[in-house]
Amino acid sequence: MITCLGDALFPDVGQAAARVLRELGYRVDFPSRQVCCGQAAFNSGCQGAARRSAEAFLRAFSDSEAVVCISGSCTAMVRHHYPQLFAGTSQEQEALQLGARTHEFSEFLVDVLGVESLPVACYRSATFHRSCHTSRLLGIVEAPERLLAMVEGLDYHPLARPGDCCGFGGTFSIKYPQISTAMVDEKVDDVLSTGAGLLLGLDMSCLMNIEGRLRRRGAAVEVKHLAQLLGEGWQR
Amino acid sequence: MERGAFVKRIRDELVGGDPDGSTCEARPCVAPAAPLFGRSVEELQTVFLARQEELGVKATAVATRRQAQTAVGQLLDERHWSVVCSPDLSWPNIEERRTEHTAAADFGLVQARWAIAESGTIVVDTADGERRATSLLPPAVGFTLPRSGLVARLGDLLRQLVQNRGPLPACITMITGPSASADIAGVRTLGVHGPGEVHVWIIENE
Amino acid sequence: MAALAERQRAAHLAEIEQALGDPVLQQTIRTRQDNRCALQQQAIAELPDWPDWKEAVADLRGHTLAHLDRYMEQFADNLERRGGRIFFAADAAEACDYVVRLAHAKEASLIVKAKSMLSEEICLNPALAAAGVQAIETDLGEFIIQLAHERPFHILGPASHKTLEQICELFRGLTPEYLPPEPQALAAFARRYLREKFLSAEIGITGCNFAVASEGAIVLVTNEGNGRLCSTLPPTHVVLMGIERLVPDLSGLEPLLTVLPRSANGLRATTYTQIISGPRRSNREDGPRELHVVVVDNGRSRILGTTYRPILHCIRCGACLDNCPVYRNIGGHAYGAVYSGPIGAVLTPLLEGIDSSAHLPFASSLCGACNDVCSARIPLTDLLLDLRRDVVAQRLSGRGWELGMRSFAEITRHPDLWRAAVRLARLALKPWVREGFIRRGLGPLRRWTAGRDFPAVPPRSFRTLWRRDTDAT
Repeated sequence: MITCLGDALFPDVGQAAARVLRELGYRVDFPSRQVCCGQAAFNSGCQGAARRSAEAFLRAFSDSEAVVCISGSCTAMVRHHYPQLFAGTSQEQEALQLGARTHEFSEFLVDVLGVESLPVACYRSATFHRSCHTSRLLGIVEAPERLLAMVEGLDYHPLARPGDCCGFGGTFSIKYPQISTAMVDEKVDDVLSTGAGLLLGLDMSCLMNIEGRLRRRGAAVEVKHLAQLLGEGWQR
Repeated sequence: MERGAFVKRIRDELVGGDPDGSTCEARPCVAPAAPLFGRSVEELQTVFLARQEELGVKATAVATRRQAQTAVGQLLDERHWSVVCSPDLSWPNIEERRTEHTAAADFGLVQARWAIAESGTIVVDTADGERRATSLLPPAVGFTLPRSGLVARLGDLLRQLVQNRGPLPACITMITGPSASADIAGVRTLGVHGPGEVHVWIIENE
Repeated sequence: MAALAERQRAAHLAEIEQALGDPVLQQTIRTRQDNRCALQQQAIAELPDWPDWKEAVADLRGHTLAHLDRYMEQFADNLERRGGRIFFAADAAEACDYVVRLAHAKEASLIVKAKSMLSEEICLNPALAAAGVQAIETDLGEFIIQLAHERPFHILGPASHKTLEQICELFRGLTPEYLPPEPQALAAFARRYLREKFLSAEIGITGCNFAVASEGAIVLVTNEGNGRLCSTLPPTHVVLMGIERLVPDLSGLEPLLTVLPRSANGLRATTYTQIISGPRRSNREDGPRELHVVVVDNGRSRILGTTYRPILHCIRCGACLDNCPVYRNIGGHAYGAVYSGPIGAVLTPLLEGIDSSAHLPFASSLCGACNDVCSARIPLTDLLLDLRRDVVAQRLSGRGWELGMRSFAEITRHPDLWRAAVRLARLALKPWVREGFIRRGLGPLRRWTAGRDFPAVPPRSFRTLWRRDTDAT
C-alpha cells in the first residue's frame, strides 16, 4: 500500500520498502488500481467522497494476501475508520477483512515477520518522530524503536517529546496554516536540539511537513522514512 | 419547566427508555481494589502523617486527648491566638482565649471523627456538633482525630456512610491540606479563602 | 444566522492571530501546560491501575446517562425529603429567571458566586446585573476575569493567561492601598476584599460537580475555600447543576473523586470536598437555611439522544486542554465560548448550534492526545470527525472544499486519470521549483508555502517506476 502521497511525491520510500521485503525473501506485488484510501476526504467530513475513494481501494487489494503500508495514518484509516465508513453496506465484510490483513511497515517487520536482526548499517546520528495516528490509533511505538536498534552504527538521539503532534493534521495544515506552523516549529526545535543530522519517521505526511519547516528555517537535517534508511543501508 | 415534562424530555431522548426503572439494577460501583499499603492502624497512621507533611500540615501523634489538649494550649499561647470551637468542648486551659466570634478568631479547633490515610484527608460533618465555619473562617485551623477513625481509602469512608444507613448529615466536609490556589500567575499561594495553616493531632489511644 | 457565524469565525481567527503573535502568552501557556502535565503524570503514576480507574469512570457515566430519567426522579425526591428545593430549568432563560426571582424574593443586593462554568454558559451574571443584583465571583481566577471583563481562558484556570503585573493592575483598581506585584500579597488582598462580601451576601451560588441520586446530595470539589464559604455563610444557597452531573449512589463517588483531582491538578484529593444534603437541620447548626438546586438542561437532553452522548460523560477535569497542542498555541479565547480546548470544540457546537461554530471542529489536527488523557475515556477525535461530517452534510462549510474532495475522489477511482493528474501537477508546478522544492506556491499550496517548503513532484511516480522495473524483468 503505497498511498497517494507516496506514489506522487515519495516514490523512493515505496521502492525502499519493496526492496527490504524482497531481501527478506518475500514476493512483493503492487496492485496498480490502488490510489487513495480516502483519509483526506474522511477527515474533512466528506463521507461520501471518502467512501468513493475507499471502495476503489478495497477492490484494488481484494486478491492481496498481506498488505504492507508505508504510512501509519493510511493504515489507521483502513483499520480504524473503514469499519465505520462501510457499516451497513455490502462491502462491510470486505472492509473488515482488509483491515485485518493490512499492516504498517514497521509493525509488519517486527510483529508479523518477527524480524530480530537486519543487515543494515548507517553511520549517522539520527532522531525519530512518532506520528500521532501510528502511535495512538495503531499503538505502534516499540516496533520502530526495535528496528532502529538493529541498524549498525546508528547514533540514535530520541526527541524530548517524540509523541507530540507535528502539526500536519491533513487539511488542518492548510485550513489553519498559522497554528500548523507554530506546532511544527516546536517539533523542529526539538529535532535541532538533538543535534541529529537525520530525522526518521513512519509517515511521509508528517515528515514532509517537518522537512518543509526545517528547510525554511535553513536547517541542514536530512529527512527519511524508516524504510529508506533500511533499504539504502542494506548490506549485501 | 414542570418536573414531569422535564424528565419526560430526558426519557424521550433515551432510546429504549426505562419508565418504571425495572431494567435498571442498582449497580454498585466496582473500583480497582489493589491495596496501596497495609491496613494495620500503625501503617495507616504512618501513611497519613507522611501525607500531612507533603501537604504542609503540621501533624503530630499524641498518646491521649489530654496531651492534645496541652499541645493546643501551648500553640495558642505561643502565637497569642484566640480560638473558636464547639460549645460542647470544655478545655479549661484554653478558656481564656476562647471567642464566640468565629469571623474574628485566629484559630478554629475542630474535633474530627474520621480521616482517610491515602490522601491525607480529614473528615468533619455537621452531625458531630461542629459548626462548618469553625474550620473555615479563621486563618488557621486545628483538628483532633482519634486514630481509630483512620480508614485507608475514600471508598472505605463511603462504605461507612452507606452502612450507617441513616440519612446523611447536612454537610460532610473533607479537608486535605491548607486552602490553596495557583490562579495568580501559576504561583501556589495559601490561605485564599480558607485557612492557610492547618494542624492535626492524632490521638493514639482513641 | 449566517452573519453571526461569520462574526464568530472572524473573531476566532482574530483571537488565533493575536495569541500566536504574543510571545509572552505563548510562553505562559506552554509553561502552564508543561507544569500541569508533570503534576498530573506524577499523581497518576502512583496508581498502577490508573486505566482501570478511568474505565470505572467511563462505565459509571455511561450507565448513569442511560438511566438518567430514573436517577433524576430519585434525586429530586431525595433532595426534597432532606428539605432542599428543586427547580427544573429547560434552558438558560428559565434558569436565570428563577435565580433573579429568588434574588428579588430574598431582597438580595449582593450574591457571592463560586466557580460554575454552567453559570457562565447560561449568562447568569448579566441577567442578575440587569435586575439590579450584584453577583461577585469569589474563585480567584473567576474574580480576576470578572474584573477584566473577559471569558475564561481555561476551564479550571480561567485567568491562567494573566501575568502577575496584569493581575496586580486589576486589583489596584479596587483599593487605594499599595499592592506589590507579589502573588501571596495579592492573594491576601483578595482574601480580605472578598471576605466581607461572603459575610454580607444574602445568597451564595455554586456549581455542582456531582449529584448523588440515592441521597439527594450535591458534591462540591474545590481548592480555595470560596465554595465552602458560598455554601455556608449566606442564608440561601443556590446550586446550578447540569442534568448530566448525576451519580447513582455514594459508591460512584469513589472513582470520580479518585480520578478528577489527579487529572485536574495532580492531587490525590482537592483541598475541600463537600457532600451537601439539604439545608441546615436545626438552629444548632450553621449553614444555609434554604438550599435551592436549579437543574439545567439547556440542550443536554438533546445530546443524549444522539451519537454525541459520550461528551456528557465529561467530568470537567481539563486534562484535554492541558495536553492539546492546538490549545498550547492558541489558548482558550480562540474557542469563542465558555468551554475551550477539545471539550469545547465538541460541546460548544452541540450546545450553541453547529451553525455558529462550524469552524471549531476543524481547529484540530486530530492528534488524539486528548483521547489518551480523558478521565472518562471520551473518544473526542471521533466526535470531532462526526461534527465535521455534520458540518459538511448541512452545507455549513465552504462549498469549495467539498467539491475539491469529491473531484479528488473521482480521480482516485481511475488510476489512469490519477496518473494524468500527477503529470499535470508536475508540469504546472515546475516553474516554481528550486532545488527540488517549492518555496512559493499558488492556490492551496500558497497557504502551505507561507511557512514551509513543499516538495516538487518527482519526474517519475512510484507506479511508473514499478511498471518500468516489472516490464524490464
